[in-house]
Amino acid sequence: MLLIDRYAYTNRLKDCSPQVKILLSCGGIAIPRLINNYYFDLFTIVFMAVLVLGIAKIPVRSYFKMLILPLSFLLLSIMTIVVSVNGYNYLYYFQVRNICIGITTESLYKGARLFITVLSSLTSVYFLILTTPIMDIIRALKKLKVPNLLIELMVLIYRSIFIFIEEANNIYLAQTMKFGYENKRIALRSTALLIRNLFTRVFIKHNEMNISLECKLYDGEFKLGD
Amino acid sequence: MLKVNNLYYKYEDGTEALNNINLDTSKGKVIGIIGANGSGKSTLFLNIMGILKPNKGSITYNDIPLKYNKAYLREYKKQVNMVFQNPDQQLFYSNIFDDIAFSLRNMGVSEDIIREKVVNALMQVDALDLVDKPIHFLSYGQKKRIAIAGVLVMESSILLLDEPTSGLDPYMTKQMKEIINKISSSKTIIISSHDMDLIYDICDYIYILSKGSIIDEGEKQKVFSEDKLLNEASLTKPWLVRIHEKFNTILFKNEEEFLSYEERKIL
Ligand SMILES: Nc1ncnc2c1ncn2[C@@H]1O[C@H](COP(=O)(O)OP(=O)(O)O)[C@@H](O)[C@H]1O
Ligand SMILES: [Mg+2]
Repeated sequence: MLLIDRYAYTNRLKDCSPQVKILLSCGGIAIPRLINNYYFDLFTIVFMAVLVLGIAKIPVRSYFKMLILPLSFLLLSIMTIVVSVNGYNYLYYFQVRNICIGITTESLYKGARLFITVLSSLTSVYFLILTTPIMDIIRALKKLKVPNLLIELMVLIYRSIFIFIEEANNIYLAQTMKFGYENKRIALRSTALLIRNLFTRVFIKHNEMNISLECKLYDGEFKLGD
Repeated sequence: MLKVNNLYYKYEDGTEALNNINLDTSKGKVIGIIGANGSGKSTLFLNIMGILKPNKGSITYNDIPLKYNKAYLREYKKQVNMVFQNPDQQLFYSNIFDDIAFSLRNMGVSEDIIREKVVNALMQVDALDLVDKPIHFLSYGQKKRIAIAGVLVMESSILLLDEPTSGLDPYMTKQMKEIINKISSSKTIIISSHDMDLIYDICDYIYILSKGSIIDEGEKQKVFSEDKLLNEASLTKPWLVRIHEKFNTILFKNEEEFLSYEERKIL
């Protein structure tokens, strides 16, 4: 099962009202954009981290581990902003023929700001998904009159993610047991096989799911009580 | 009362999965369908549920033949429903209560009654203490019980169980047996399985399925004395029957009878 999901169901804030958590999280994304103040962004990051680590008691290690993936994408994209060509006031640069490539004070400042801004939104989203079980989020969205179609999509996608990960995991395990990832060439072939298998298996599972939905008298709308 | 009459089913790829199947639920309260892997048990169940449409033959419920339109099948599924072999196939929500309530909400039952029925169903499968757990935290056996509860809430009069004990440990198997015994007091149950001990213990009428055909049927004592047919179906005898034949002792009707007899003798 997903690590994120495990924390969502076991953290100390799981019984806290989902509406409040959704508001906080949305606030953490929207308010810094409105105020547009560098220090407020920093404050949001610290605030969210304290909520997640200090109050909800998500282990520090896993929190940072989970942040690494989006952070690496973020850093990569920030790089393209920080590095500027033929600018002024270089802090550091090198020259290729008559083109200057390097970092200027201005670009560095711009990059840092953007980084902090994105990070503040990221920590806000993480706060929500790490402290709120998906069903609570869906229930709250339903109360907020979000269209049914979107909610159904969420329920199904959520369920499908589990089916997908589980199947991929099963196939991968079976392959490693048969030495399917010994060297690069074999690993490549195994990966291709995994993807092909995954596709057919997910297709079969999808069919099975339709059958059992019918058995449970599903009529085209996922209903949730109040 | 459910009847299957001269039913044939062939998959698109040409596999003749069922040949001339006749079945009648009025013959018993707990009906067993035994057969090796691939003998056609699941295919038969899917036909009975109206999910697969037979190539020939018919299924009648209370003497009315099944009609293959959406509205009719929907009403039919309130009367006849099924627990699949793989519990994951039947669980959609990550929350147990919502999952069990799912079919009731689809029927438009009010929330108060839903609460009552869900609790009742959970009690029947001994899983009331699990209600607050997210479904992906459950063990396989627990999932199986929740899947059963999810179908029990519909209060159908006929319940199909596809291999209810496959993949369960001995303790869970015993619990499953008790659960089936308990729910059989209020409805007709059809069980498919290749667990002979289970079938011998809880069924009162048995069909032997082999390569898509029913090769024998009858009360359990009769069916399990047919060496040749059991062999043909790649099945073995329940241990109670084997002991009876080998040592010429009494043929006990179920494990409970056997155990209580032992105790009396020792005392
Ligand atoms: N979707 C399918 N397409 C083609 N053949 C199938 C399909 N499902 C099952 N079969 C075949 O039908 C036969 C009966 O299968 P099944 O009903 O699953 O048996 P059981 O449940 O008794 O193990 C087997 O020979 C199997 O290979
Ligand atoms: Mg089967």
